[in-house]
Amino acid sequence: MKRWVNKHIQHIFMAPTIIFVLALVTFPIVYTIRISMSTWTMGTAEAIDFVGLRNYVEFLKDERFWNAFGRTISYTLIAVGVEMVLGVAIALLISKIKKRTNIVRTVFLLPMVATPVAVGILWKLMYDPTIGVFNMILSALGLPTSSWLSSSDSVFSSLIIMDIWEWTPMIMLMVFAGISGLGDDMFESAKVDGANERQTIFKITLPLLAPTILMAVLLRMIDALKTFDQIYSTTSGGPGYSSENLNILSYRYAFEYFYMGKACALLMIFFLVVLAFALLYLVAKKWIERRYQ
Amino acid sequence: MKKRMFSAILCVIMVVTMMSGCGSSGGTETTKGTEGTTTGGDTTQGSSDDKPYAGTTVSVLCASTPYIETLRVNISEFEEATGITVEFDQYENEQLSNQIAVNAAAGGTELDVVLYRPIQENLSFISKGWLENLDSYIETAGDEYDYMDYTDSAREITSKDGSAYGIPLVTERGIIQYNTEMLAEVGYDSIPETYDEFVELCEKLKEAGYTPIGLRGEGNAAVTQFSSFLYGFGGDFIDLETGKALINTDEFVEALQFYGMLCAEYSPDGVLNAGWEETSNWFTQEQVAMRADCDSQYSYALDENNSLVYDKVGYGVIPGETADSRSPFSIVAWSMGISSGSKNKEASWEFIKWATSKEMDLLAQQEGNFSARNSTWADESSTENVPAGLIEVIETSNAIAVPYDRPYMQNSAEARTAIGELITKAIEGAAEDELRATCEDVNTTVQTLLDSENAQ
Repeated sequence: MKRWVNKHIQHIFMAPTIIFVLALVTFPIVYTIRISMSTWTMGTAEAIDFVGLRNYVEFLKDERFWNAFGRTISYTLIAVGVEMVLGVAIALLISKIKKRTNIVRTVFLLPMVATPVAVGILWKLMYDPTIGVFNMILSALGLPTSSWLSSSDSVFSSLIIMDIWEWTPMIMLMVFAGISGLGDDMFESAKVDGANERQTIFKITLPLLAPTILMAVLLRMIDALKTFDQIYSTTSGGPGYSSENLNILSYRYAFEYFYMGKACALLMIFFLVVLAFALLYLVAKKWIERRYQ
Repeated sequence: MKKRMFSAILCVIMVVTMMSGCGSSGGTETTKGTEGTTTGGDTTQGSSDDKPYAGTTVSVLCASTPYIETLRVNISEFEEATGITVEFDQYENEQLSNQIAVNAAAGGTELDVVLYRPIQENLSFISKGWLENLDSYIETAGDEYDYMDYTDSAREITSKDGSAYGIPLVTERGIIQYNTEMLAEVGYDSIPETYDEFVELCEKLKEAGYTPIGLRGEGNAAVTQFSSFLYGFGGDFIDLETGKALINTDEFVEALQFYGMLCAEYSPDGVLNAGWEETSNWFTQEQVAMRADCDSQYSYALDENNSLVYDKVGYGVIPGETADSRSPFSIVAWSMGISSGSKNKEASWEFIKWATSKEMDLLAQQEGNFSARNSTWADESSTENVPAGLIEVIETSNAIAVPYDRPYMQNSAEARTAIGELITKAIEGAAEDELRATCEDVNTTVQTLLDSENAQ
């Protein structure tokens, strides 16, 4: 017995983790796939009937699904694109500050540590066209006011602005960590060679930070695809369907219409989309390790 | 040694934190009347003949309504008399539905008493087997409980095929509240009876510098308030007798255009995101001259501490295309039922029997609720705190009202979302052709849902 345990000690230590992953990750995914191939509407006496890929085919023909899909992708690309530029810029600026760095960094990190739902409720108030502070400021400056979340035309951009405010600090934090890890040698050599600040940033700092920035952007993209809290607490997908992304749509199918089968099918499609980005992250990580080592 | 002690203390703290995290329960708010002894399961020691369910804990999953507040304040009376401990779990409307759905789908054993919206959820919850049939409980409760004291329409909307599944709790009507000062300034002392005259009033208020009316414009939330205007044009969501969807009719399109015009031209800027809380805030903070919403929220405007209009509120019936076509909704907004999976059905019924008794129903109305019991309305003391003008409007509305404010069908939620999208398009000024085309699509969707329900 003792010999057997010693021989398989690594498997025995891994067993709790494997059981945990099987129970809490694999089983729900398999069960979701099963429900996605049925028309179950959560009735207690209702049998879970098998309808194959019917739910998936219906979504491929559904305009509402494709609109939500398009919104999910464009929301992710636009929000994360702007967050990348701002995050890198702020990280570079903070790295130049020599005094009270901790206080400055903490202030910039505050939006990220706030609860997304609380952020959503707060921004909903600030965006209110009648009593909100944003329109008050615009009026005071003599600029035209906006409907913000109250119009199909402006709701999308309003949600992106909120996302940028909340999640730019995440990219900033990761890039700042990357900057802290860069050595001084190359910068000193560049200075000796007569490089100015702009040349240093674009020809030395940014190329060296490229792996870190790419990782931060890809990780943030995976999060942005799954945005739910901010949208649900502000517009719930409205006005109409104009701010509905895949996550909100699947929530509605599951918990407002009780179409569990369709909701699970939508979630499996969504899972594949997020998986594609996750695989992209792994491929990019390997490529960077090979390129920069 | 010190390092080892420090590590040991850290380990203990982590384990304790983990254990307390594993033991946490759900619900946004939970209150206990007295110290609980047993949760779920049968009665334990301490029960006697006159307190057969002593020691049982009954959970009440509910939303925020004046009736629930009355019950919470008086719950100790029930707990002392029966030995049953009551735990209230309060949620927002949509979250409450989600909680019921998720728990009920898993068997409903964690649920006892549930509050639900009969028009939207009665057919759906009953068909899914989530609600307990209350016939036998009502029969044993006898004449003292007097189930027939509830109005016919209230009993009908909480039943299916003649069996009761819920007890009506709260009734609501669509009405207009108005700022008497603002209307007096433009020469009005009441709400006009026809849509044309109503638009004239809105124009005069706009010219005087006021925002005429606060309306719900957030698609889903707006459907119920839109219904009064739809009925006023002679339209409807579905023909309940034939099972035919009526969303592509001329009356429906006309009503959409009218409601959309009122929102776009006479409501505040944030109307597309406005639900009942926004319209209430607009009215109480004097941002609008009128508000079309549910009468059950009347007390917010009369609150001296929070309302700027507490001493100048008037009430009116929602107008119609003609004076005779006025048809606001008058519905049972909330009812109370028992989860079919509950382990404490008898104790849950004891709670419901007390909570919806004639005495508690009367007390709730005295404290701001609007009842579905005839005896409560017949008692003069039930309305002594309600403004006289509002009583008059309620009595007028009840006589001409439609008993539902959204499509009464199993898939009501999906139909409501689709109709909400139509309202959003109308407010955003969609051309008539586009609106008609979208109405046709939504009508097809709703008809398909109705046909599949009728085929079951």
